[in-house]
Amino acid sequence: MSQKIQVRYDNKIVAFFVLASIFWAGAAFLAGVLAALQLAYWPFNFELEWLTFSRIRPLHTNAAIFAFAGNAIFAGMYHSTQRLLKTRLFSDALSWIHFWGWQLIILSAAITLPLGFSQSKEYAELEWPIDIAITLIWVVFALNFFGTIVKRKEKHIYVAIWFYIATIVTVAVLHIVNSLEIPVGFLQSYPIFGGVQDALVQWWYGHNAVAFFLTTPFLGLMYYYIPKAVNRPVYSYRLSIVHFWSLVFIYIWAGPHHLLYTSLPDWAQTLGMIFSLMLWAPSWGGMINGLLTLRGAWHLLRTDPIVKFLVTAVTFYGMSTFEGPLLSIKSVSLLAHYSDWIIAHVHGGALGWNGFLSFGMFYYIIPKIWKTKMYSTRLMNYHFWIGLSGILIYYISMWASGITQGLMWRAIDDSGYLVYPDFVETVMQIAPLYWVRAVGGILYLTGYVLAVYNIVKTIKSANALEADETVEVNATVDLSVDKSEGFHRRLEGMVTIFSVLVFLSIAVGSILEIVPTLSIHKYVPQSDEVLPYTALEQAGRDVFVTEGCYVCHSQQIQKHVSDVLRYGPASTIGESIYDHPFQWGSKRTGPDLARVGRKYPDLWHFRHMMNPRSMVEKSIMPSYPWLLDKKVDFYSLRKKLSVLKMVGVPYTDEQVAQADRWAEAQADEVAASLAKEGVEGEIKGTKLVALIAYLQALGKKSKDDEKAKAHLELVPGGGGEQ
Amino acid sequence: MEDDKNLMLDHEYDGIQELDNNLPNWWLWTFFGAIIFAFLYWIHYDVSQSGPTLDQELAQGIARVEQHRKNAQSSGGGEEVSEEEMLAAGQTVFRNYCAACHGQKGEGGVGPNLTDGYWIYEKGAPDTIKGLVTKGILDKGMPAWESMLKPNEIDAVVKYVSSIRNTNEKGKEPQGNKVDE
Ligand code: HEC
Ligand code: HEC
Repeated sequence: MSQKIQVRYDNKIVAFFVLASIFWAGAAFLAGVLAALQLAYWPFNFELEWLTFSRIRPLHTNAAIFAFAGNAIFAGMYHSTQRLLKTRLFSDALSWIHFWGWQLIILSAAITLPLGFSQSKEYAELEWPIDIAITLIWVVFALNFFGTIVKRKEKHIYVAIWFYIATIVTVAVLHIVNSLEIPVGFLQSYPIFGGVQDALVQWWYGHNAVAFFLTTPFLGLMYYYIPKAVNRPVYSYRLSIVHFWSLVFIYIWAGPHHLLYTSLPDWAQTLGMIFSLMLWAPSWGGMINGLLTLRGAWHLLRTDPIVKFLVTAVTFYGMSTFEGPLLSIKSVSLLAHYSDWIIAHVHGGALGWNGFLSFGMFYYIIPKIWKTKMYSTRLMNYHFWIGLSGILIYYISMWASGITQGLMWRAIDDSGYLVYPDFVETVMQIAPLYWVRAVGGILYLTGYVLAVYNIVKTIKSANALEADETVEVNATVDLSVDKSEGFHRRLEGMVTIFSVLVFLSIAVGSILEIVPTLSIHKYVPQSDEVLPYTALEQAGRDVFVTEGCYVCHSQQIQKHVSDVLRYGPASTIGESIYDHPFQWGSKRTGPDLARVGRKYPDLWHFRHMMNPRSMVEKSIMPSYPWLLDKKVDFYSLRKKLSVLKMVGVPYTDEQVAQADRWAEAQADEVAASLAKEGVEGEIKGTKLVALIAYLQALGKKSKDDEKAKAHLELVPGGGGEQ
Repeated sequence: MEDDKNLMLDHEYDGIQELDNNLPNWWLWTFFGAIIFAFLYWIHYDVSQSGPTLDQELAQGIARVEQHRKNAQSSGGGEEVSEEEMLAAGQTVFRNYCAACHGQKGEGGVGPNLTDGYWIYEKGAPDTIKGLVTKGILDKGMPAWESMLKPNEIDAVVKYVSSIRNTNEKGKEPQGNKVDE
């Protein structure tokens, strides 16, 4: 018999991550409910810039993903990894740097996002200093995790650990590539990719954030907590192997399904769709293994609230991963994309799969590490049922809303005209469902409040946290390769090779999709040549990005008749080529803006931005009156244009050097046009004027457009003066 | 459940054991089915290019719509619409789409007053108005309505606009030239 030694599992770090997750969950859910109310009833925007929907929504998504789910993942990973590898975490120092570093990142996100420091790239909104901090903390986490693996007292790594490895490796790659940006100020930057390239990279990232931040780590957690909770063996080891590798290899390709019918080249769209379809079975492999582990223990579903949470979570995982491939089919995407169906889809995943799995896990971990029982089983059951009805109400209302509005957008009658040409009419049709959705959210929040009460009571009644849990393990472990083992079994003992294989699996799809897109110039026909934004228009674009208008407006007219009838000719690949970041958007709570330029007079935009209801009676768009009080920093435009020039926007040296005067000259023009229509006051230097200039340029940057050309020549002294 | 004993692997991690059940057949077939479909789809659209590209699909769609519009126009005009009905329809269109800029009664706002007897464009003759409404005055911020409104709706709103001229609603100060009638 080999010798035994004692190791102490670190429970304190687990407890901190659990409590942090629960704390931030409150912020995420509250922001979600507020956002829901704002769409149902616009006065809930309160005309306060930091409470406006377009700033609250990024706050909500970031809090839900990185704060609530993120801390839950870390809690579960640290808790289960020590037990699966029979050793304490590699370094206490790293654990605590990881913990406090991550909380600081969240805190800075919670401050900067409402203040409007945003890159306007979904789930990657945070600005560059925070991006760097995330990278550093992720490295700390990775060191701590792989260090733990190195000093493990268990030769083979269990399937949960495989999923954790995939998470750590892939998130690092995704985050770094999608955050390649050049700072133009302390809290502002432009991504090095623009237009279609930025779109592809962003959705490669965005989709795989769902895959490798919200799926693989949770599958790992599932593989630990379900067998523990039901005390039954995992259904199929073989299935674990097949679905793990197929999932990791296939997921990474699926990003372009967010860009169907756009100007992204057809081949990339095809890849996005077909890989999504192939993803269905690998995803369900995880569900099968989770659910069938309950064979012989189904009765627990009636009696044990933890099992209820975990099993329901896996069921929602199954639903979402069926719905996802379905939504990737081109014709289905056409109906669902930009609509609330997608919102339903993500919330099935977020509230059902991630949320319920986390809560089930917390209810499992908390009594264990505080050495007590949950204060109230009945409250856990209430939490479950109230939460579940919240999810269902949310899901069903947003399905109904998405499908209704999608059908209205696409409907063309026998005489060849749109049946609902007025966008706002389609909004009015679904407005009641926004109230229903808010009710769903409030129910979910109610369940959460019960959980908090229950957990606080539990911890208070417990003696104390068992900060270090002592167990006996083998003193040594023989890591040498055993030739009699099967191939994969051997691999489970060779973590370095395992991790390299994971990296290669995700590298294939990434490289094959992204690299050809980077040589995009061959897709941009010469006739499409577009002019870059003027300095003022670029300043206005920064306002658009800061305010987060992309949460409600797309800038991409799809290659489909219904879109062309409503918004004008389909967007071309060239038109957004100088857009750093791209703003194609993913949701049309308001109409597409790709060709809104010169559709309305300046005065219309002026009034509309101050109060949309003054122009469109039933509008649910927030008012943006502060844009009239805020000034454009003209001087900073020199720096901004020089950075844009660096990433490929064809500005002349002179345009860069004179950017401020160039912008002021055009601002004079806009201000004069507004003054002529009776707008009073000194408005020339305001952000509103810049934004109007930008909106009026959308879709009007063709090199054959006289007005656009004239604006390029506004550089004072640009003529014969030198 | 009895089989479980035979299927049990000798793995054990923190008390978790693993069975080695076969992959369910239906699962395998879904997976293979998806892979085969994906492959064929890819061949069809991207390799042999026997399927239409998105641009081709769009062009076909547009052609269909144009055909529908032609058909509708040639078969239209069947039922007679009375003067009042047309004016009422025109008023509805005006309130829905024009009032935001021209005011509820045509008194003006972002766009000019349509009731004051002053016209920017060629004395505000119905044909002029129809042209303006159809194609818009894009550089001046008057939208084009041909994609939003059907031909009969445009006719109706033109009729309505003609009917409110010289009603002299108080509103935006006059623009253009006084037209004496
Ligand atoms: C809550 C979602 C929401 C947000 C956020 C939002 N909008 Fe809108 N927007 C709408 C809706 C709904 C409409 C349609 C009704 C209307 O015209 O007001 C609209 C219409 C518009 C239109 C008119 C489009 C057309 O073709 O008629 C413009 C321009 C516009 N928005 C610009 C912006 C800008 C700029 C921002 C950011 C500062 C913004 N919107 C933020 C919802 C939103
Ligand atoms: C977005 C605002 C807007 C909307 C909506 C709008 N218009 Fe206009 N309209 C204008 C502006 C601005 C002008 C003035 C153009 C100019 O100065 O050349 C104008 C001009 C006109 C004129 C010419 C007036 C003249 O003095 O010659 C007519 C007629 C007209 N609009 C009719 C309509 C009708 C009918 C609708 C609804 C189908 C409509 N407009 C909707 C903004 C709008």
